[in-house]
Amino acid sequence: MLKVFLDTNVFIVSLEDLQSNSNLVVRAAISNRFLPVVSQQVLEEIKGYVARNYSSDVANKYLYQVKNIPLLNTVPTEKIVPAMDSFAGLVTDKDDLPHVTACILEDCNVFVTIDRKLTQMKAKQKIRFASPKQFVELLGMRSINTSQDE
Amino acid sequence: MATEALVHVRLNVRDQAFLDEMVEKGNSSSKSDVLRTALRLYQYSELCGQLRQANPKPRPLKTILAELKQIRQTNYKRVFGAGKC
Repeated sequence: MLKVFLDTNVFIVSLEDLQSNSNLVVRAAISNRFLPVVSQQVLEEIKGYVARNYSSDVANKYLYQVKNIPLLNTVPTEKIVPAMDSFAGLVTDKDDLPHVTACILEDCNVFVTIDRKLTQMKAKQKIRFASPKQFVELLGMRSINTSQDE
Repeated sequence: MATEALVHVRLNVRDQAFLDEMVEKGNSSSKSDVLRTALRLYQYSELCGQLRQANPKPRPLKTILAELKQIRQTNYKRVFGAGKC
C-alpha cells in the first residue's frame, strides 16, 4: 500500500470545496486506500486555519475527524527536530522543512500538495511530489477537472 | 443492522463507491470495519456540508494558500524559533 504524506492544504481545500480532488484524497484516506502520513505541524496548521476562519468548535470537530482516519501516522515534532538540519538544503522556505523532513523520515512514496512552489524546490530530488489530481489518478480513480491547480 | 441500513441510505454515491471497493479489494477485516468507515465518511460529509451551507462559495485557492503560508511561518517561528535552519 502506498505511504503518502498529505500537506495541510489538501485537508483545507477538501473542507472548503466538496467538488475538489483534495476532497477525494481525504475520502480515499478515510477508506483505507493508502497509508496517510502527516506531521504534528500539519495538524496544528489545520487547527489554526479552521479556528481562524470558522470557529474553535469547528476546528476541534475537524481535527477529531482527521485524527480518526484509521491508518493515519502522525510524525511527532521530537522525531523531526534532530533530523531537520540534514535536509535543510532541500527547501527554499525554512518553514517547509519540518514537513519535508517528516516525509523523508517516514519513507513516504508520495508527497501530496497543492503548493507548486514547494514541488519545485530541491526536495524534488528526494521526494515524489503530486498534486491531488495526479494522486487521485495514481490511485486509479477518476479525477475532477478543476479550473485551478488542484 | 438498522444502523447499517441507515448509514448506507444516507451516503452519497461517491462514498458508496469507496465502500464497495473497500469490500471488493478486501481492505477491511470485518463488516464492522466497513460500517465504521461508512460512519466516518458520513460524518465527514456532514461537517463539510454544514460549512458549505454557512458559506456556499468556496474561498479562492490563492487566498487559502496565502493564508496557510502565513500560518505555517508563524507556527514555525513559535515551535522551532526564527533562527533555526
